[in-house]
Amino acid sequence: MSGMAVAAKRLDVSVGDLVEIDGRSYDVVSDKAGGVALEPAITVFSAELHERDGTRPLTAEEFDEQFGDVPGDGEG
Amino acid sequence: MATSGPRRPGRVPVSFDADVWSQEVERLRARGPMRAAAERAREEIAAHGMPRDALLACSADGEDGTSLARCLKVYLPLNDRPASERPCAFVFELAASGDDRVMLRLIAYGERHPAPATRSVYERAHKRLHGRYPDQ
Repeated sequence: MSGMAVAAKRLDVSVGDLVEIDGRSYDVVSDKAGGVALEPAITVFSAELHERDGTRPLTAEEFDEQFGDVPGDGEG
Repeated sequence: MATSGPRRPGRVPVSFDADVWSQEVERLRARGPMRAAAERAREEIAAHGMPRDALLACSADGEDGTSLARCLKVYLPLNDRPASERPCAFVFELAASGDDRVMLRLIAYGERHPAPATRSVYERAHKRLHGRYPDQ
């Protein structure tokens, strides 16, 4: 069986770019090993959600008062 | 803004934004186990509210560079199994409405410990909060 040469599509993108492939959006991110990877895009951010919903983030004082007793596990 | 869950003592209302749900859950393969776990959890939260004692605090200064101060999380599937048997998580930001009512808003869903080239749920939450990944 003989192999066929495959021509690579050259993409002019870098980490931080937003790309669309087959109708789906992806963030170009570092693969943490010297290359890049595609990650399903995040295009709606917290500040926009607050503005849209008429909400605000809790202050540190409010958080401590209402949720300061919630334990953490140090994972993330 | 749709909030889920009855206002019961020990329960916190949860908001699931349609765009966030699309980017975090509907990106996953339909009928796959990760998507099914998220959909089941949302149904349960809608019916019963988010039990306060199921929540864990996120790290303000994570080892992976994430900064998730004042965020809470819950491991999925929602059950009483050990954390090591629940590979995914919802990460929530706390939001106060104009009348100071407090709710959880979903900001990320995904694997807690994915393959190296894939971003964890904590990194996705960091990006939604801060507009960039921790290593960018």
